Amino acid sequence: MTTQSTAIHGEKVSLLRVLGPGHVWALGVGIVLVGEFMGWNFAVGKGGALAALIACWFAGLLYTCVAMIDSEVTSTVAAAGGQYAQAKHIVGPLMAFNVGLFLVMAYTMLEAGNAITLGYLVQTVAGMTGIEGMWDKPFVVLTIMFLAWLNYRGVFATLTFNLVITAIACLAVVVLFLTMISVNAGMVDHAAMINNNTLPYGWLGVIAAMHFGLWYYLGIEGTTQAAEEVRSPARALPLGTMTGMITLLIAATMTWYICAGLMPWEYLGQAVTPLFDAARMTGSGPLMVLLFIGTIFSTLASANGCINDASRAWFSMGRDRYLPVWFGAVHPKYRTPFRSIVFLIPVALVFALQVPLDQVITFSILSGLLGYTFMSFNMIMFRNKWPLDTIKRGYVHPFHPLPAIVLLLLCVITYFAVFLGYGAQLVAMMVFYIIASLWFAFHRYKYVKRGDQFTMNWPRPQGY
Amino acid sequence: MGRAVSFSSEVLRVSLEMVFAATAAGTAAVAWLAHRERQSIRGRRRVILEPVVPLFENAIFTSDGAGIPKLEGRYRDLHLKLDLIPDTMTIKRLPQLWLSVTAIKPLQITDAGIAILIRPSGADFYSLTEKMAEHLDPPPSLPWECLVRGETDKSALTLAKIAPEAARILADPKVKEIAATQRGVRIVTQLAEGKRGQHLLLRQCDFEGAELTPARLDALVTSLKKLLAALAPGSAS
Repeated sequence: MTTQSTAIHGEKVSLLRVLGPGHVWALGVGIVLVGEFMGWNFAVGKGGALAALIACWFAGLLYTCVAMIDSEVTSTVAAAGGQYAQAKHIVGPLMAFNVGLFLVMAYTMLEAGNAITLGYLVQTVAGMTGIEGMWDKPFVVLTIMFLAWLNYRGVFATLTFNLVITAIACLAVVVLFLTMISVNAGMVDHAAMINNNTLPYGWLGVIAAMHFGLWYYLGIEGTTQAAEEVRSPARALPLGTMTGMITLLIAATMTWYICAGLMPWEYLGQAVTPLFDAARMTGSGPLMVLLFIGTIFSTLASANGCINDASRAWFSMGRDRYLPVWFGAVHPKYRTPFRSIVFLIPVALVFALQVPLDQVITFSILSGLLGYTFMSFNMIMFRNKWPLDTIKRGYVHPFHPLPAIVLLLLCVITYFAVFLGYGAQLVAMMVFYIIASLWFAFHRYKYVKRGDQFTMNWPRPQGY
Repeated sequence: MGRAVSFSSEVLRVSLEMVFAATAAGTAAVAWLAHRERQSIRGRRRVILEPVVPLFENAIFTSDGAGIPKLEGRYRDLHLKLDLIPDTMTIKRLPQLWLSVTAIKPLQITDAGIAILIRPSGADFYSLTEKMAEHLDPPPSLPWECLVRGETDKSALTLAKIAPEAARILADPKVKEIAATQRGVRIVTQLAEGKRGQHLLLRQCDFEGAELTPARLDALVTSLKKLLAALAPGSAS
């Protein structure tokens, strides 16, 4: 066992404890792996199968920059609070307000996307058994309401068997891949499926595919959870995120190999449940069951995490008075941010019931993308205000400012990619954040108690 | 579709009926597992304070529907109240199980109560700092990353009295808050941290192995007694 000299509460801890098997596994099958079960394939629609694969790798580069930057900042800050806390301390209240909104919107839209997928899957399977015309909407509502109820009850609701259950989500992809390279190898024919359209929209299509390329990894930076401590585990932060990214990169490549080899790109580019559809193509009952369960549980696990995190972000903004303090209430019995949980239910429902999956995913991606854009200039500001010799860092990312510049560049490319096909959604989202920022700056800011928010043991920033 | 994979619809129907049967059986199994796990977790939570129950006189030991226990009684000549607070409120942080140990004893610090919270995240809902209006600068002896609040400007005197002892207590990185009001003094400290995998997968907080040992309680009560001594009438400020 590799040991690591990282102090948590004054104890020496092993790397295995920081990055235990459950952690590494969770990185793959938790809030992020759902991107393999749905959503990624819209990249195929925007640029063709090969473009989706290239976008997957370029998105991997974007997330490598995210991981490097995030790890340095969180190794100086007690990482609790994530990007929201970073924005409060490094940039200021308006940025923190926006970052809080990015988190809430990204998670709530992802929750809506998960519910849509689950409802569609139930409808599809019902149709396969002869129950035609089953309505998917009740299942969408039921999913969101059930998970919100679980979150409302907090520690009163327990689901600790999840390690076994969510393993199925990960295993499903691996098993499907293994059958595709062995017993079903004859069914996979990438050349036929691509049908002489290697890049149907040329290199512009590759850029356009970057839009949904982010979906493979969206939220990976949130999987590194901090301990309540003064010093954060130094090497565990980048290692944890990078381990997760490698897991996802492998899973994404396997997913692409299976789906792009079984389904024509024209169909794959608009499928709701591509992996389940791939299992259907094999005609194997056990594989269909496995992928059905895998998709159901990955969407449930993801939606549950989204409700939890979105409500906590909303709650934190209420506590900091960025929003009405009413949202900062804690349930006296369940000790959960019950008002925030309840408030966000109709938001998720409206999007899940009224907006198509690709647009819901686009809203989630855009909010995430805005967060990554913030990280790029946040890093530059962080290094300028607190140079290396002023704050002890657990981890210093190499080649500064190259990762920040590359990240910013990839973010700009991705905005352009979103514009190609989803310009209206891009503009709508930007208008929403601008109006929200104006409301905050001209109305809400006077309620913010600025003195209570800056709690890091940092020296005065340079230039102040 | 580019590939023709045809199956008899009857075979597919039978196969899918089996799928549904398996799903139903799986759901029942999951429900049974959930029930068993819930009972197990409640049981694990109830025993957290059990090692110290025999040390209390007139102990009142209760637990809520989630199995989170509370304990009240006399210990080392003090009326003590022990509460456990599960905290999942801060994003990107593992769930925390806080232990609040309160020594209930009337103190002559009316309107001069004080709360010192270290490393505040803004989501510290259990903290008394949010119930106190007066913002006080932490003295140099306390760690910089403290949020100090008092009931009124009279709280500065209370702060001066307990600052040396508070600095010693806060040197323990597990301690989160020290508070003193006219009703007594309390220390909030970390008792356990949620398991990482359980939290990441379905945002559950499982404090497996959490336990309050007699030695830990004894050390906390010693600290509370020193705070009470510092606040006793006639003690040097």
